[in-house]
Amino acid sequence: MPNRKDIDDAELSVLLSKAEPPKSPQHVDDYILDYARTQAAASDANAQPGFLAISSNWINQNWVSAVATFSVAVIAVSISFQTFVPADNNEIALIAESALGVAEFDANANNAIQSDQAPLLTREAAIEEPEVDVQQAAPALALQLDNINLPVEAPSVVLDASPNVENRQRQVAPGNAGPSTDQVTADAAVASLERESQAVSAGATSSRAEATAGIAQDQDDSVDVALATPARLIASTDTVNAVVPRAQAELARAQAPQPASAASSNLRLQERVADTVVEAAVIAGDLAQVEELAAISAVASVRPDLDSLVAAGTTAQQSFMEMLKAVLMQPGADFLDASAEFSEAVAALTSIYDQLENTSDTEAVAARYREARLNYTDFELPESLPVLMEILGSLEFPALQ
Amino acid sequence: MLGLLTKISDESLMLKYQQGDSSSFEKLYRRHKDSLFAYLYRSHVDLNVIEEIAQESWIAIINSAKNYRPSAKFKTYLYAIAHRKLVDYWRKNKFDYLLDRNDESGEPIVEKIADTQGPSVDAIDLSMDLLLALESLSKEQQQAFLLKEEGFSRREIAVMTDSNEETIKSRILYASNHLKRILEVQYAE
Repeated sequence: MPNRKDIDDAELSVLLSKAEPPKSPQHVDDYILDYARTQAAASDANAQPGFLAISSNWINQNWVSAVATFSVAVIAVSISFQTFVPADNNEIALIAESALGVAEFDANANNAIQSDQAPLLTREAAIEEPEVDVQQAAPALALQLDNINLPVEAPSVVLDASPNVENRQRQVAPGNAGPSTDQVTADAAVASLERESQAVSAGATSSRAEATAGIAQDQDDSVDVALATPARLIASTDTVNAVVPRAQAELARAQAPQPASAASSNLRLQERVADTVVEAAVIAGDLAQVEELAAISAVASVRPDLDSLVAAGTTAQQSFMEMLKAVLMQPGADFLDASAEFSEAVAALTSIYDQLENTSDTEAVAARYREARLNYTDFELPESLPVLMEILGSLEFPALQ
Repeated sequence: MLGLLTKISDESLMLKYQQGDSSSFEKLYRRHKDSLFAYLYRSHVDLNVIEEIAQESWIAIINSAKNYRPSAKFKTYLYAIAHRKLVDYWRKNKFDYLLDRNDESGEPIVEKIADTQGPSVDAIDLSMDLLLALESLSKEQQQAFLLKEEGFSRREIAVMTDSNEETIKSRILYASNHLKRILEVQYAE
């Protein structure tokens, strides 16, 4: 018999177990087990067959993990799409520009950087044919007009195909008209000229419209500046590698000796090639090539005025020659007489410049040119004398080069 | 021996029943039905109430079998349900769940029982006195003590009763001391 001191926790447990509580009643057991079987059968009947049942069960127990995995997958796909979207060529050009820090580049080349690379060549190639047609057609038209003495204007076509946003407008003027050996009636000649002029104008206008639309689109596209990525820079290099050989081929073709009637066309071709090559060099990151090509681009920027000089009257030509003589020749030195052809005078001055061997003489001549350029207002001249001489030599007298 | 080695855990049986195996539930039920009934009986002496709460507890297990996850022992799961149904019953019937139970004069029943001299030790069933003494405890102290006697740890009891372990420890100690005091007084010379 336990007394007060004997009772402890273990004794309490023993006493509690001896209480012999009643068993679970049979009717309660039957009810619960029947209910359990019924529910199990109902569960089987409603269960989805095969993997669907497993999937449903799995989803019930792992829906959090499934949602998390799906979310991560969606984010990964989104990021991969953003990473591998091909870079726009305009973005590539702007990225290259900012990376190289070419801020003081010639305005002509600077504008060209913002334009498209491959589409540029495509557009200009498309425009090239009508332009050449005009160039070739113009002398013929001039010849016929001279013969029949009718005041018919040669077709003047404004081409906006250049990537320069300044919308350099070039008028295709008749070339050097040589003597005609054909005699045609006035009516037939006029009719033929009108048809030809209309055909040429229509072709050139169509090309101009296409080119202008393309340039406008380029300017809009260039507003968007994307972040530079290595992948895009690599893509830009690939683009340049594809463009440069084509541009160089065009340049070589343009520099080949050609008849005088095609000189003006070749000038434009050289200008375009120069711009393209400069763009390519900028994008490729070749600074040395950029500097070298910048001179060519500078030549291109002033060429329209020198073209005008060629077509200008004798007064303007004489003024230009006087300025040039003052720069290149010592006072009192002998030179061609006033009756000499303009082209001969230019050739003579070019030759004088080429014969300068002393560095001090060259520098003195260059200094005089800079001063004379400031006072010369008839035409826009390049900043440096070597560039001017290059223009005069390569453009007007390619045979002297 | 072979039976012990091949005994399937409660959780595995419940998962099998989840897959539609009703025989697994039957095994599970037979394992725990009497112990649960005993726990309820010690908590409340009215058999009708015990049967009702036991039945409701098992039906709740069956109905929630689809969502069952073996994150805890099945026995803990079962007794937690039964405990909550007990508490709900006490609250519906306005039992004083939180305070020590007093008699009509306001004196705690525990003290009253302790001070009562039993007529004859031989005439008294020790176990029944213990059950009566359990009735004199507060429900929280009673449940803490009974669940401890069912083999649950203080931590498990704390989870089942939404308390912390220190509180459960205090309740168990208080209940044990008072039950001993009653029994010692009853059977002391």
